[in-house]
Amino acid sequence: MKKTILYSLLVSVIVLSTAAKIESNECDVRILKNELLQNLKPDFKYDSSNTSRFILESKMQGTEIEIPLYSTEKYRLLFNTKNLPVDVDIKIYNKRVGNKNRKLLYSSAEEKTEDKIFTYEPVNQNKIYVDYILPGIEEKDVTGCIVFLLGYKVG
Amino acid sequence: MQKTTYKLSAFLIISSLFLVSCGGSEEEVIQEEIIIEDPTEDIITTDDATIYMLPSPLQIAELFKSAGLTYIGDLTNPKENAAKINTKYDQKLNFGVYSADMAYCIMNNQTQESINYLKVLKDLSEKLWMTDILHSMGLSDRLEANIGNEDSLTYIMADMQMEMDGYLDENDLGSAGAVIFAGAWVETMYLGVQVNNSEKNEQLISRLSEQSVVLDGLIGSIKQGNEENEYSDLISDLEKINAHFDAFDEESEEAFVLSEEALTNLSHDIVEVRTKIVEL
Repeated sequence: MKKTILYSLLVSVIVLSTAAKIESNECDVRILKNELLQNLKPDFKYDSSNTSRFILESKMQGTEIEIPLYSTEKYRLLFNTKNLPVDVDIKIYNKRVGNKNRKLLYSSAEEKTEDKIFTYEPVNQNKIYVDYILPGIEEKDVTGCIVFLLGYKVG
Repeated sequence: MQKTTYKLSAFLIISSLFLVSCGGSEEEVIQEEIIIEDPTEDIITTDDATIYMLPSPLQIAELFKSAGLTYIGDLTNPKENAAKINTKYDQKLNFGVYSADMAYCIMNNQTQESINYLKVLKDLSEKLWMTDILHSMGLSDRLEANIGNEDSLTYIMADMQMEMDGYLDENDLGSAGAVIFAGAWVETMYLGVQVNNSEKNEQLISRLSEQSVVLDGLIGSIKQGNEENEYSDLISDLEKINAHFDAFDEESEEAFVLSEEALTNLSHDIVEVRTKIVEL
Protein backbone atom coordinates (compact mmCIF):
# COMPACT_ATOMS: atom_id res chain seq x y z
CA MET A 1 0.00 0.00 0.00
CA LYS A 2 2.74 2.38 1.00
CA LYS A 3 4.68 1.47 -2.11
CA THR A 4 1.67 2.12 -4.32
CA ILE A 5 1.24 5.55 -2.85
CA LEU A 6 4.92 6.29 -3.18
CA TYR A 7 5.03 5.23 -6.80
CA SER A 8 1.89 7.17 -7.59
CA LEU A 9 3.43 10.26 -6.06
CA LEU A 10 6.61 9.78 -8.01
CA VAL A 11 4.73 9.43 -11.30
CA SER A 12 2.66 12.50 -10.52
CA VAL A 13 5.75 14.55 -9.81
CA ILE A 14 7.34 13.47 -13.06
CA VAL A 15 4.20 14.18 -15.09
CA LEU A 16 3.71 17.60 -13.52
CA SER A 17 7.29 18.68 -13.87
CA THR A 18 7.34 17.64 -17.52
CA ALA A 19 4.15 19.50 -18.27
CA ALA A 20 5.38 22.64 -16.57
CA LYS A 21 8.84 22.64 -18.15
CA ILE A 22 9.63 25.44 -20.62
CA GLU A 23 11.66 24.14 -23.52
CA SER A 24 13.78 25.80 -26.14
CA ASN A 25 12.80 25.65 -29.79
CA GLU A 26 15.30 25.80 -32.59
CA CYS A 27 15.08 29.17 -34.33
CA ASP A 28 14.48 28.47 -38.01
CA VAL A 29 14.63 32.04 -39.28
CA ARG A 30 13.74 31.18 -42.87
CA ILE A 31 10.49 29.51 -41.91
CA LEU A 32 9.53 32.26 -39.49
CA LYS A 33 10.38 34.92 -42.06
CA ASN A 34 8.45 33.19 -44.85
CA GLU A 35 5.36 33.18 -42.65
CA LEU A 36 5.69 36.94 -42.25
CA LEU A 37 6.24 37.49 -45.99
CA GLN A 38 2.77 36.14 -46.67
CA ASN A 39 1.40 38.92 -44.48
CA LEU A 40 3.14 41.57 -46.59
CA LYS A 41 1.38 40.66 -49.79
CA PRO A 42 0.06 42.10 -51.93
CA ASP A 43 0.55 45.75 -51.05
CA PHE A 44 3.93 45.86 -49.32
CA LYS A 45 7.43 45.02 -50.47
CA TYR A 46 10.19 43.55 -48.26
CA ASP A 47 12.54 46.22 -46.90
CA SER A 48 14.53 44.84 -43.99
CA SER A 49 14.43 42.37 -41.14
CA ASN A 50 15.97 41.53 -37.81
CA THR A 51 16.25 38.39 -35.74
CA SER A 52 16.62 38.84 -32.00
CA ARG A 53 17.88 35.78 -30.16
CA PHE A 54 17.45 35.38 -26.44
CA ILE A 55 18.69 33.20 -23.62
CA LEU A 56 15.94 33.55 -21.06
CA GLU A 57 17.02 34.54 -17.56
CA SER A 58 15.54 34.55 -14.10
CA LYS A 59 14.91 38.28 -14.33
CA MET A 60 13.03 40.26 -16.97
CA GLN A 61 15.09 41.38 -19.95
CA GLY A 62 14.58 43.54 -22.96
CA THR A 63 16.08 45.07 -26.03
CA GLU A 64 15.38 48.14 -28.17
CA ILE A 65 15.45 48.42 -31.96
CA GLU A 66 15.65 51.81 -33.67
CA ILE A 67 13.85 51.99 -37.01
CA PRO A 68 14.14 55.01 -39.32
CA LEU A 69 11.08 55.67 -41.46
CA TYR A 70 10.07 58.28 -44.00
CA SER A 71 6.96 59.89 -42.56
CA THR A 72 5.14 60.26 -45.88
CA GLU A 73 5.40 56.56 -46.70
CA LYS A 74 3.41 53.53 -45.58
CA TYR A 75 4.96 50.68 -43.65
CA ARG A 76 3.94 47.40 -42.12
CA LEU A 77 5.86 45.92 -39.19
CA LEU A 78 5.46 42.19 -38.61
CA PHE A 79 6.67 40.20 -35.62
CA ASN A 80 6.79 36.41 -35.47
CA THR A 81 7.07 35.28 -31.85
CA LYS A 82 6.19 31.59 -32.38
CA ASN A 83 9.66 30.48 -31.50
CA LEU A 84 9.60 32.09 -28.08
CA PRO A 85 8.59 29.70 -25.32
CA VAL A 86 7.22 32.63 -23.29
CA ASP A 87 4.94 35.55 -24.07
CA VAL A 88 6.84 38.67 -25.10
CA ASP A 89 5.53 42.16 -24.64
CA ILE A 90 6.22 44.22 -27.76
CA LYS A 91 5.96 47.95 -27.24
CA ILE A 92 6.57 50.56 -29.91
CA TYR A 93 7.45 54.14 -29.01
CA ASN A 94 8.13 57.36 -30.90
CA LYS A 95 11.32 58.16 -28.96
CA ARG A 96 14.19 56.14 -27.53
CA VAL A 97 14.23 54.83 -23.97
CA GLY A 98 15.05 57.58 -21.50
CA ASN A 99 13.41 60.37 -23.51
CA LYS A 100 10.82 62.16 -21.35
CA ASN A 101 8.61 62.86 -24.37
CA ARG A 102 8.36 59.22 -25.29
CA LYS A 103 4.88 58.14 -26.31
CA LEU A 104 3.59 54.59 -26.59
CA LEU A 105 2.30 53.96 -30.11
CA TYR A 106 1.53 50.24 -29.89
CA SER A 107 1.49 47.38 -27.44
CA SER A 108 1.18 43.73 -28.44
CA ALA A 109 -0.83 43.14 -25.27
CA GLU A 110 -3.69 44.99 -27.01
CA GLU A 111 -3.65 42.69 -30.03
CA LYS A 112 -5.29 39.30 -29.83
CA THR A 113 -3.65 36.77 -32.10
CA GLU A 114 -3.60 32.99 -32.13
CA ASP A 115 -0.73 32.58 -34.53
CA LYS A 116 1.69 34.67 -32.39
CA ILE A 117 2.24 37.10 -35.25
CA PHE A 118 1.80 40.77 -34.47
CA THR A 119 1.27 43.59 -36.94
CA TYR A 120 1.63 47.34 -36.71
CA GLU A 121 1.33 50.08 -39.34
CA PRO A 122 2.77 53.39 -38.15
CA VAL A 123 1.35 56.71 -39.30
CA ASN A 124 3.48 59.80 -39.94
CA GLN A 125 6.51 58.70 -37.97
CA ASN A 126 10.18 59.41 -38.68
CA LYS A 127 11.82 57.10 -36.19
CA ILE A 128 10.22 54.47 -34.03
CA TYR A 129 11.61 52.30 -31.27
CA VAL A 130 10.56 48.71 -30.83
CA ASP A 131 11.04 47.30 -27.33
CA TYR A 132 10.87 43.59 -26.56
CA ILE A 133 10.18 42.84 -22.90
CA LEU A 134 10.61 39.20 -21.86
CA PRO A 135 9.56 37.74 -18.51
CA GLY A 136 11.98 35.98 -16.21
CA ILE A 137 11.77 32.19 -15.86
CA GLU A 138 13.17 29.64 -13.46
CA GLU A 139 14.48 27.14 -15.98
CA LYS A 140 18.00 27.54 -17.27
CA ASP A 141 19.40 27.44 -20.83
CA VAL A 142 16.08 28.20 -22.47
CA THR A 143 16.42 30.03 -25.75
CA GLY A 144 14.15 31.56 -28.33
CA CYS A 145 13.98 34.20 -31.02
CA ILE A 146 11.76 36.88 -32.48
CA VAL A 147 11.81 37.54 -36.21
CA PHE A 148 10.83 41.03 -37.25
CA LEU A 149 10.17 42.12 -40.80
CA LEU A 150 9.52 45.58 -42.24
CA GLY A 151 7.63 46.11 -45.47
CA TYR A 152 7.08 49.36 -47.36
CA LYS A 153 4.80 50.77 -50.00
CA VAL A 154 6.17 53.59 -52.14
CA GLY A 155 3.85 56.22 -53.51
CA MET B 1 -36.86 68.04 32.32
CA GLN B 2 -33.46 69.60 32.74
CA LYS B 3 -31.79 66.18 32.15
CA THR B 4 -33.76 65.75 28.95
CA THR B 5 -32.70 69.17 27.81
CA TYR B 6 -29.04 68.45 28.49
CA LYS B 7 -29.30 65.11 26.67
CA LEU B 8 -30.98 66.77 23.72
CA SER B 9 -28.35 69.53 23.63
CA ALA B 10 -25.54 67.02 23.82
CA PHE B 11 -27.13 65.04 20.99
CA LEU B 12 -27.47 68.15 18.84
CA ILE B 13 -23.87 69.24 19.47
CA ILE B 14 -22.47 65.81 18.76
CA SER B 15 -24.61 65.49 15.63
CA SER B 16 -23.40 68.86 14.40
CA LEU B 17 -19.82 67.92 14.98
CA PHE B 18 -20.40 64.68 13.14
CA LEU B 19 -21.98 66.43 10.17
CA VAL B 20 -19.19 68.98 9.95
CA SER B 21 -16.48 66.36 9.94
CA CYS B 22 -18.18 64.16 7.35
CA GLY B 23 -19.46 66.62 4.79
CA GLY B 24 -20.37 70.12 3.86
CA SER B 25 -16.70 71.08 3.79
CA GLU B 26 -15.64 73.46 1.10
CA GLU B 27 -12.02 72.41 1.25
CA GLU B 28 -10.44 71.87 -2.13
CA VAL B 29 -9.96 68.24 -3.01
CA ILE B 30 -6.62 67.79 -4.62
CA GLN B 31 -6.69 64.97 -7.08
CA GLU B 32 -3.55 63.00 -7.21
CA GLU B 33 -2.15 62.97 -10.69
CA ILE B 34 -1.56 59.48 -11.86
CA ILE B 35 1.69 59.39 -13.72
CA ILE B 36 1.98 56.48 -16.06
CA GLU B 37 5.64 55.57 -16.04
CA ASP B 38 7.41 53.98 -18.93
CA PRO B 39 7.42 50.28 -17.95
CA THR B 40 10.45 49.57 -20.07
CA GLU B 41 12.78 52.04 -18.36
CA ASP B 42 13.70 49.63 -15.59
CA ILE B 43 14.42 46.85 -18.03
CA ILE B 44 16.08 48.58 -20.98
CA THR B 45 18.51 51.32 -20.08
CA THR B 46 20.32 53.89 -22.16
CA ASP B 47 23.50 51.86 -21.58
CA ASP B 48 22.12 48.85 -23.41
CA ALA B 49 23.22 48.54 -27.03
CA THR B 50 20.50 49.68 -29.41
CA ILE B 51 19.92 47.59 -32.50
CA TYR B 52 19.92 49.85 -35.56
CA MET B 53 17.77 48.86 -38.49
CA LEU B 54 18.71 50.35 -41.84
CA PRO B 55 16.32 50.82 -44.76
CA SER B 56 17.04 49.00 -47.97
CA PRO B 57 18.90 50.97 -50.66
CA LEU B 58 16.05 49.95 -52.95
CA GLN B 59 13.52 51.82 -50.82
CA ILE B 60 15.65 54.96 -50.86
CA ALA B 61 16.17 54.64 -54.62
CA GLU B 62 12.42 54.33 -55.18
CA LEU B 63 11.76 57.35 -53.01
CA PHE B 64 14.27 59.41 -54.96
CA LYS B 65 12.85 58.17 -58.26
CA SER B 66 9.32 59.15 -57.26
CA ALA B 67 10.72 62.60 -56.34
CA GLY B 68 12.05 63.00 -59.88
CA LEU B 69 15.53 61.47 -59.89
CA THR B 70 16.12 61.33 -63.64
CA TYR B 71 18.84 59.49 -65.49
CA ILE B 72 22.07 61.25 -66.37
CA GLY B 73 24.55 59.15 -68.32
CA ASP B 74 28.04 58.60 -66.92
CA LEU B 75 27.06 59.58 -63.40
CA THR B 76 27.29 56.04 -62.10
CA ASN B 77 30.52 54.37 -61.08
CA PRO B 78 32.23 52.92 -64.20
CA LYS B 79 32.25 49.13 -64.16
CA GLU B 80 35.96 49.20 -65.02
CA ASN B 81 36.69 50.52 -61.51
CA ALA B 82 35.67 47.13 -60.12
CA ALA B 83 38.99 45.65 -61.30
CA LYS B 84 40.87 47.90 -58.88
CA ILE B 85 38.96 46.70 -55.80
CA ASN B 86 41.17 44.43 -53.73
CA THR B 87 40.53 44.74 -50.00
CA LYS B 88 37.47 43.26 -48.31
CA TYR B 89 36.61 46.70 -46.96
CA ASP B 90 36.59 48.28 -50.44
CA GLN B 91 34.69 45.30 -51.84
CA LYS B 92 31.92 45.74 -49.28
CA LEU B 93 31.65 49.48 -49.86
CA ASN B 94 31.63 49.13 -53.63
CA PHE B 95 29.16 46.26 -53.57
CA GLY B 96 26.85 48.83 -52.05
CA VAL B 97 27.81 51.45 -54.64
CA TYR B 98 27.17 49.14 -57.57
CA SER B 99 23.89 47.92 -56.04
CA ALA B 100 22.71 51.53 -55.95
CA ASP B 101 23.90 52.05 -59.52
CA MET B 102 22.06 48.95 -60.70
CA ALA B 103 18.87 50.13 -58.97
CA TYR B 104 19.26 53.57 -60.62
CA CYS B 105 19.67 52.00 -64.07
CA ILE B 106 16.78 49.57 -63.58
CA MET B 107 14.45 52.38 -62.54
CA ASN B 108 15.42 54.40 -65.55
CA ASN B 109 15.12 51.51 -68.01
CA GLN B 110 18.79 51.46 -68.87
CA THR B 111 18.84 47.82 -69.94
CA GLN B 112 22.46 47.34 -70.99
CA GLU B 113 23.84 49.22 -68.01
CA SER B 114 21.65 47.16 -65.67
CA ILE B 115 23.09 43.97 -67.13
CA ASN B 116 26.62 45.35 -66.82
CA TYR B 117 26.15 46.16 -63.15
CA LEU B 118 24.60 42.76 -62.46
CA LYS B 119 27.80 41.17 -63.80
CA VAL B 120 29.94 43.41 -61.58
CA LEU B 121 27.84 42.45 -58.54
CA LYS B 122 28.19 38.76 -59.35
CA ASP B 123 31.98 39.13 -59.50
CA LEU B 124 32.10 41.12 -56.27
CA SER B 125 29.81 38.70 -54.46
CA GLU B 126 32.20 35.87 -55.30
CA LYS B 127 35.10 37.82 -53.82
CA LEU B 128 33.01 38.48 -50.72
CA TRP B 129 31.95 34.81 -50.52
CA MET B 130 28.35 35.85 -51.04
CA THR B 131 27.84 34.00 -54.33
CA ASP B 132 24.90 32.09 -52.93
CA ILE B 133 22.85 35.26 -52.63
CA LEU B 134 22.54 35.76 -56.36
CA HIS B 135 22.24 32.08 -57.15
CA SER B 136 19.62 31.31 -54.54
CA MET B 137 16.04 31.67 -55.65
CA GLY B 138 17.47 31.89 -59.18
CA LEU B 139 17.92 35.61 -58.58
CA SER B 140 20.57 36.04 -61.18
CA ASP B 141 18.49 34.32 -63.88
CA ARG B 142 15.34 36.13 -62.85
CA LEU B 143 17.10 39.50 -63.04
CA GLU B 144 18.42 38.78 -66.51
CA ALA B 145 15.08 37.47 -67.71
CA ASN B 146 13.24 40.58 -66.54
CA ILE B 147 15.63 43.31 -67.63
CA GLY B 148 13.44 46.12 -68.99
CA ASN B 149 10.50 45.29 -66.74
CA GLU B 150 10.91 47.79 -63.90
CA ASP B 151 8.06 46.48 -61.72
CA SER B 152 9.22 42.88 -61.72
CA LEU B 153 12.82 43.93 -61.24
CA THR B 154 12.13 45.94 -58.11
CA TYR B 155 10.45 42.89 -56.57
CA ILE B 156 13.37 40.73 -57.57
CA MET B 157 15.75 43.26 -56.03
CA ALA B 158 13.69 43.16 -52.83
CA ASP B 159 14.15 39.36 -52.83
CA MET B 160 17.87 39.86 -53.31
CA GLN B 161 17.94 42.24 -50.34
CA MET B 162 16.16 39.64 -48.24
CA GLU B 163 18.64 36.93 -49.23
CA MET B 164 21.54 39.19 -48.38
CA ASP B 165 20.03 40.12 -45.00
CA GLY B 166 19.54 36.42 -44.25
CA TYR B 167 23.10 35.55 -45.28
CA LEU B 168 24.58 38.34 -43.16
CA ASP B 169 22.47 37.32 -40.17
CA GLU B 170 23.28 33.59 -40.44
CA ASN B 171 26.98 34.36 -40.65
CA ASP B 172 26.93 37.05 -37.95
CA LEU B 173 28.09 39.70 -40.41
CA GLY B 174 25.89 42.56 -39.27
CA SER B 175 28.68 45.12 -39.48
CA ALA B 176 29.44 44.08 -43.09
CA GLY B 177 25.82 44.84 -43.91
CA ALA B 178 26.16 48.33 -42.48
CA VAL B 179 29.29 48.99 -44.56
CA ILE B 180 27.59 47.72 -47.73
CA PHE B 181 24.65 49.97 -46.95
CA ALA B 182 27.01 52.92 -46.39
CA GLY B 183 28.36 52.45 -49.94
CA ALA B 184 24.85 52.27 -51.35
CA TRP B 185 23.65 55.26 -49.32
CA VAL B 186 26.57 57.50 -50.33
CA GLU B 187 26.09 56.54 -53.98
CA THR B 188 22.35 57.25 -53.88
CA MET B 189 22.97 60.61 -52.21
CA TYR B 190 25.63 61.34 -54.83
CA LEU B 191 23.17 60.62 -57.64
CA GLY B 192 20.57 62.77 -55.88
CA VAL B 193 22.79 65.82 -55.36
CA GLN B 194 24.23 65.63 -58.88
CA VAL B 195 20.81 65.40 -60.52
CA ASN B 196 19.60 68.27 -58.32
CA ASN B 197 22.67 70.31 -59.22
CA SER B 198 21.85 69.87 -62.91
CA GLU B 199 18.23 70.89 -62.42
CA LYS B 200 16.89 72.08 -59.08
CA ASN B 201 14.05 69.92 -57.80
CA GLU B 202 12.27 70.78 -54.54
CA GLN B 203 10.90 67.28 -54.04
CA LEU B 204 14.35 65.81 -54.45
CA ILE B 205 15.76 68.35 -51.98
CA SER B 206 13.08 67.26 -49.54
CA ARG B 207 14.11 63.61 -49.96
CA LEU B 208 17.79 64.50 -49.55
CA SER B 209 16.94 66.39 -46.34
CA GLU B 210 15.00 63.42 -44.98
CA GLN B 211 18.12 61.28 -45.00
CA SER B 212 19.03 62.74 -41.63
CA VAL B 213 16.82 60.07 -40.04
CA VAL B 214 18.99 57.34 -41.51
CA LEU B 215 22.49 58.67 -40.99
CA ASP B 216 22.60 58.60 -37.18
CA GLY B 217 21.61 54.94 -37.16
CA LEU B 218 24.09 54.09 -39.91
CA ILE B 219 26.95 55.69 -37.99
CA GLY B 220 25.81 53.95 -34.78
CA SER B 221 25.66 50.60 -36.53
CA ILE B 222 29.13 50.88 -38.06
CA LYS B 223 30.59 52.01 -34.73
CA GLN B 224 29.22 48.84 -33.10
CA GLY B 225 31.29 46.77 -35.53
CA ASN B 226 34.43 48.87 -35.31
CA GLU B 227 36.33 46.98 -32.61
CA GLU B 228 39.43 46.73 -34.80
CA ASN B 229 39.15 50.36 -35.95
CA GLU B 230 38.96 49.30 -39.59
CA TYR B 231 35.98 51.55 -40.21
CA SER B 232 37.23 54.67 -38.40
CA ASP B 233 37.83 56.62 -41.62
CA LEU B 234 34.39 55.80 -42.91
CA ILE B 235 32.81 56.83 -39.60
CA SER B 236 34.72 60.08 -39.70
CA ASP B 237 33.53 60.77 -43.28
CA LEU B 238 29.92 60.01 -42.42
CA GLU B 239 30.07 62.22 -39.34
CA LYS B 240 31.35 65.05 -41.52
CA ILE B 241 28.30 64.59 -43.76
CA ASN B 242 26.02 64.30 -40.71
CA ALA B 243 27.12 67.72 -39.49
CA HIS B 244 25.12 69.26 -42.35
CA PHE B 245 21.97 67.87 -40.77
CA ASP B 246 22.65 69.54 -37.42
CA ALA B 247 19.69 71.85 -37.88
CA PHE B 248 17.37 68.82 -37.91
CA ASP B 249 15.33 68.72 -34.71
CA GLU B 250 14.05 65.27 -33.82
CA GLU B 251 11.52 66.75 -31.42
CA SER B 252 9.97 68.96 -34.08
CA GLU B 253 6.97 67.72 -36.03
CA GLU B 254 7.69 70.00 -38.97
CA ALA B 255 9.32 68.56 -42.07
CA PHE B 256 13.01 69.39 -42.18
CA VAL B 257 14.42 70.90 -45.37
CA LEU B 258 18.08 71.75 -45.85
CA SER B 259 18.88 75.39 -46.50
CA GLU B 260 20.53 76.22 -49.80
CA GLU B 261 23.86 76.75 -48.11
CA ALA B 262 23.63 73.47 -46.17
CA LEU B 263 22.67 71.65 -49.37
CA THR B 264 25.64 73.09 -51.25
CA ASN B 265 28.02 72.08 -48.47
CA LEU B 266 26.39 68.64 -48.17
CA SER B 267 26.76 68.12 -51.94
CA HIS B 268 30.45 69.00 -51.75
CA ASP B 269 31.11 66.50 -48.95
CA ILE B 270 29.04 63.75 -50.55
CA VAL B 271 31.05 64.07 -53.76
CA GLU B 272 34.29 64.01 -51.79
CA VAL B 273 33.40 60.87 -49.80
CA ARG B 274 32.03 59.13 -52.88
CA THR B 275 35.24 59.85 -54.77
CA LYS B 276 37.26 58.29 -51.95
CA ILE B 277 35.14 55.14 -52.15
CA VAL B 278 35.15 54.59 -55.92
CA GLU B 279 38.45 56.00 -57.14
CA LEU B 280 40.97 53.58 -55.66
